[in-house]
Amino acid sequence: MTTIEEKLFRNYRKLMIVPVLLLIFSAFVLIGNYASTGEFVKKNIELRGGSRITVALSSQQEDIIRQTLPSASVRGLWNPIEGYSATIEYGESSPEEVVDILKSSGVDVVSYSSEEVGPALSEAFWSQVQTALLFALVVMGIIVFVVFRNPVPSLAVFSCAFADVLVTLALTQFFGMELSMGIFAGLLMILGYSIDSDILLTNKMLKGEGSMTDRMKSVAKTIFTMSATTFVVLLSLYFATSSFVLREIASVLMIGISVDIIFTWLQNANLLWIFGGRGK
Amino acid sequence: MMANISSLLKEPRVWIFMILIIGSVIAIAPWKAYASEGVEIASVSDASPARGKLAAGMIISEINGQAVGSKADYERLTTGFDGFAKVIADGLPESFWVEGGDFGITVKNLPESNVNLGIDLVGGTRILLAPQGNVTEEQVEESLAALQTRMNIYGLSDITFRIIRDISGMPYIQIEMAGTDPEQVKTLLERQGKFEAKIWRSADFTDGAASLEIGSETYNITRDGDSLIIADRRISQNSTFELGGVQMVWLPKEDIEKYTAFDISEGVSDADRSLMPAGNNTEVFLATVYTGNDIVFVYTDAQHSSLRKSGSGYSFWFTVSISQEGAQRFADAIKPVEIYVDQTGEAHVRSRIYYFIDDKITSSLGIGSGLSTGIHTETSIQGGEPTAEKSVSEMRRLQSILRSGSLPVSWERVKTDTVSPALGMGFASSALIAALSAILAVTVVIFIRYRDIRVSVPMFLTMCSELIIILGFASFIHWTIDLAAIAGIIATIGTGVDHQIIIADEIKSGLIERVFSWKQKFKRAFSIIFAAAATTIGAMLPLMFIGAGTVLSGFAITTIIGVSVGVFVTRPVYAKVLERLL
Repeated sequence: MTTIEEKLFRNYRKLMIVPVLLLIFSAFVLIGNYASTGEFVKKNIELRGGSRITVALSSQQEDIIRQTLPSASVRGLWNPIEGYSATIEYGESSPEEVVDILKSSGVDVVSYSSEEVGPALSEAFWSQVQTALLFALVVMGIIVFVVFRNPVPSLAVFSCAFADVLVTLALTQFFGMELSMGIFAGLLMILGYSIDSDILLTNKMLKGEGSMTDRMKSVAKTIFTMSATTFVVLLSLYFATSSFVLREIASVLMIGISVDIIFTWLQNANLLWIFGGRGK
Repeated sequence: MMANISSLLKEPRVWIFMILIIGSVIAIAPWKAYASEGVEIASVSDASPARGKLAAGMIISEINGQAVGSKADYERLTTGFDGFAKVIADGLPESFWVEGGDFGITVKNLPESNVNLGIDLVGGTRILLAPQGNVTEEQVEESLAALQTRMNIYGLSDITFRIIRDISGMPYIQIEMAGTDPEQVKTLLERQGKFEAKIWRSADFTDGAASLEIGSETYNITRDGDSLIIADRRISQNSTFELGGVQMVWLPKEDIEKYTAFDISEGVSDADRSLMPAGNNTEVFLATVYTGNDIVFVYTDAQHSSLRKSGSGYSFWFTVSISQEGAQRFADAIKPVEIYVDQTGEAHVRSRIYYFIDDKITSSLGIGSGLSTGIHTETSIQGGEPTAEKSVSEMRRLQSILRSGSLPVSWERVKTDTVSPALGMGFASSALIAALSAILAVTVVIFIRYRDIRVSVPMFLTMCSELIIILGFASFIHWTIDLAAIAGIIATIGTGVDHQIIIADEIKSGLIERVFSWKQKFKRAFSIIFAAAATTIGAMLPLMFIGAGTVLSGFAITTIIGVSVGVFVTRPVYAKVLERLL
């Protein structure tokens, strides 16, 4: 390697600390959850049961809502497209009753949607989520091995994908998003996406022509374009839709892709450089 | 250029692609938005005055000379309407008499395309039912049929039922309906709809012995401590036994009070001599004369039902047809009972018939003397409520429960989602905007990167074509597009772009190096793409089977379909096109 490359190589290695920091951060978030709630992950209605109504409001009326429904847990939201809304978790009544109570207290409800899930079903969902995750991980592992046929890159790719999902999950929890079926679907997509980008990277790094830096440069162009376009797709989805679910999925994917870029480049590239670059 | 295009046309995949696109556009049928005006009839309830004249699927274009273009128009013209209604449906006129705006018809707006939009997009309610306890395949089907019948009679319409199974094999019934009042559904679902009709018989004891006549047989009864010996069997209070084909139960004295109280609240007085006797030397028995199985037909038309003001409220009755066995049982049970004449000079049988729904008394009726002889296969169910509306509602409820029979298994609501129409409408238009803006934004990024129309334009067209093909496929199989499907479609477009970028880069690097042949280029690019598709499909596969009634399966299926179509058809075509152009 030339001296410039050697310098780059050494500095680049230092950046490997970033993924490590992210992993530690994620551990903190998840353990923090466990300490405060007894579960590693904060789940939403679909996974823990309960009833929730989301009302679109004409203005910020959280406090009136809290006064009117003292026993309900109320969370106010705002976003640039829709304006104000509030999610209310309530006990026994029906969504119509809650809306009526709110309206008669002067709250201006523009529209609403509600969700109610029984405890047995939510428990079933939660165990299904765990099973599905396990299944997906096993399938990914098999696919990765079939593609690379070599334990070293396979392990690197798999651990990168797994770390992606873990860190993305922790970040969503950190941002206050409760795990839902939609977010779970997003996490699985990240799993797949991460492996795709890793397959590309590893393929080029180990089998490409030219020096390591050349190979990295050429595959970087491809991967960055890919990430940019996907990011742009998700961004337009986020802003163009008024659906909370779709926006949640878009957010998870955007976070995941960003995490994937960090992990793929700062962890894997380094590893590959170290292992593949020796002797070239 | 021309040579390139003609060589393109020789590729089989290109032909498949063309066929899929054209087929999809036909399947989507976007010209429907510009077709004739009117509203489509979603359902006609059995009690509707239009029954027999109008049917579901017909398109109403005019009511009494006024044009009907939308559901809002229809509602404006029909609310509170009294009189003769002349309706133009499917181009032909039909007329019928309407009272109180009750056309008994529900309508929906004509679709703007063949794409079936789910409740997330048009508003509505989705309810998931789980069976309590173990259930067989047949019981699930029976329950589904029963629920559908109830909904129809009750006038709830525009409801779709589906059986969903999750990974553990547990069957769920998913109900989707327009309107956001899950409570309506509650009343019909939580009832098992068990129906029984019982009359009372009494036996007077002298010296510890009595007798009971059923049909043409007489059965001896003797006291034995706290029990009775009837026809050589020991019977205790509240237990059921059978005499002459009729199920009987010995009623404890405390329970007699309940029935008497119910009767008195219905306006039956002691002087009528039809209240249950409560003396020490008399024992009362309830004989079950009909059960749900005996109901052959429930009348809902105007000739066999009626509603009228009675006292301070409204009362209703409707006729029910009973099977021969049921009628025979009734005759056997009632024949020996004496007849008395009440104050108004009418002759009655000295007993009453009680109707039980889900073990709760809903009506108590006197038995006219005419019923004591012969076999009667028609009887009437009646009741009353304080307002006309409640009365009609109660009548419909009883009719639907009796007609559909009891549910073989009871179902409980485990998940309910409602989306108000205003919200739903927003989603539909915004989803389309999201998809189109995504495609445009991506095209911009692509152009910045490659600065070559020969790459960007085909990419743009490929993305659009994937969108069209997925929607076409969905329209063709009547797959409902809901939020999950939209998320899946957008995910597909996203992965599609990525794959196209991979292809473009491989081809370009091949151009620079001129090392590999086209075949090897494709092989390299597509091996990566296949692996990528495999991971996506592998990730989505488990999602298809879990989370009954949530976004997951729709998302997974749409993504899998999209990725497959992409990998096998659209993206290879894109590759070929690039190959020819570059």
